[in-house]
Amino acid sequence: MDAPKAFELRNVGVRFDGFPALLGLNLEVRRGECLAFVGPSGSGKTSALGVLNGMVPPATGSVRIREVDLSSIGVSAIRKLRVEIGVIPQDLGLVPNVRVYQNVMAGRLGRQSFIGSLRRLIRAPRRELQEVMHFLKRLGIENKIFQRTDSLSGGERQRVAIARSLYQGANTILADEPLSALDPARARETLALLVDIARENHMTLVLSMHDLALAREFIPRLVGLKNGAVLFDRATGDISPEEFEELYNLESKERHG
Amino acid sequence: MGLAAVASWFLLDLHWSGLLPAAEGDSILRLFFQGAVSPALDYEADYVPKGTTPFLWKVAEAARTTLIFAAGGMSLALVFGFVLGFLGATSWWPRETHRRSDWRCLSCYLLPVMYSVVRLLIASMRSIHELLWALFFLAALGLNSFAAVLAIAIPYGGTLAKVFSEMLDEAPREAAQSLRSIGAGPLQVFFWSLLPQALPDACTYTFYRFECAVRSSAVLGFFGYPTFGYYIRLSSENVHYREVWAYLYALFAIVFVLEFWSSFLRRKVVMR
Repeated sequence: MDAPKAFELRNVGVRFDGFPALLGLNLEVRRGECLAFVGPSGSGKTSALGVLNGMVPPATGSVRIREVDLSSIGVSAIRKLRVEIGVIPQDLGLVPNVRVYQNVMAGRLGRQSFIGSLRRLIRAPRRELQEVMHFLKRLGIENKIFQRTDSLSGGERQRVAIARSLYQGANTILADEPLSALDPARARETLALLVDIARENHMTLVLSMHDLALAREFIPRLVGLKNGAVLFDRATGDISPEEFEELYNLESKERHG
Repeated sequence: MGLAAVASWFLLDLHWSGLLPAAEGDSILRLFFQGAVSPALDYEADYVPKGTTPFLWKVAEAARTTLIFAAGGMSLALVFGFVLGFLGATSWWPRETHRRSDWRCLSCYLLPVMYSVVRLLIASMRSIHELLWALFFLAALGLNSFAAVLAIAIPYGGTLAKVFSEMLDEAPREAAQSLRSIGAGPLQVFFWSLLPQALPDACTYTFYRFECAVRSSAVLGFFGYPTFGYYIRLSSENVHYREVWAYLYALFAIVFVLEFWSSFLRRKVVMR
């Protein structure tokens, strides 16, 4: 039996300043599934990820998160849904001049009252620090816990962002180009880690990425986006080399209009 | 700028001769600068009544009062600056407020109104100089310390609020956006992301304004408050320029100490 739906997009269109970023995207993602949007720059990958947690409002179509239609609920209800969705943006979204543990602890802000979060900012409870330490240890950067975040390397900061999603207790991770700032060896290691962590914790993982070789090696389902439209959406093994070629072939755009 | 310089030259009827000392002015200038070389360590007057406070003690007392007025004014200005700076910034607003996408979103309509009111208030607070505020408060409250503290706090609070709000709005937004995307509320976004990023520059600017407040506090002495300005005016009227320079050197010393203290705090606490 299929797992329940984590996301369901029906004919979703997104426009930025009048320019189309997504054209009629249809997508179903099951809970615990791992998939990646692939495609050239400007193909709509980031917009697609933004739609999945309600940060980018669709101009047309409907978005359902865990069977809840976003158009039927208010701002605060959407915010509650976001609490369950971890986001790793391309720039990582970390506060550079605070400690690593503070960035990780920020993952749970959506679950805390304002006063509770302020108390934690002033003085982190020992038990929660131990929890942060546990996740950082899993990611191999436990010795960085009290360091300023901007003193870490790109790979280490990537891990801090992953630790934040783990600490958040999210059931889903949306990661936008998580490998873009990493060297090939580090990129492979990080992707393997993300996929492992998602599998271990039964999380839904949706990524956007450029590196087709890595995507084919680690991600079981790929959605090819080009000029805002879906070129293919299948199990990775079923996608032909010609389809991958067409995805990145700039000439094909002219050929097919 | 060139045009403005030429226009003001003619409109203000400026002449080079205006830079030459007036009658006996050159001897006053000479006396004044001689005082800089040998500032007074004791009263310059020939007769000083017995039991008068020693001169250097008086300088120290003036320094203490100047600092107290400046610190009092600045601490109140900081409260104004922080609260109004926060209310006058837009970077912490919920994303929906900027888009007005949801008619049920009350903050989408309230926040822009509050923002306009606060910006107007900030502008009016800082558009009047502290000396003018001092004049008003002297007339209204009399020569009491609270009038001086308020005279500093209001324009300084307005200036701090303007600069703080701009620092908050110019702080990188990526982290704020990322926290919003995982369900953090606007106040949490402010305290966990925007404030920490704006804090180092805000502290540096606050220290600079504290130096300015020390100068303003000194000048308030011209209205009768027992700060440097009061004693400088008395000594100056008696042509006791060596005494004037003793007060001025004490003022320099305070500014130097503040400079070292602020850079030490910035290095050890803010940038740590």
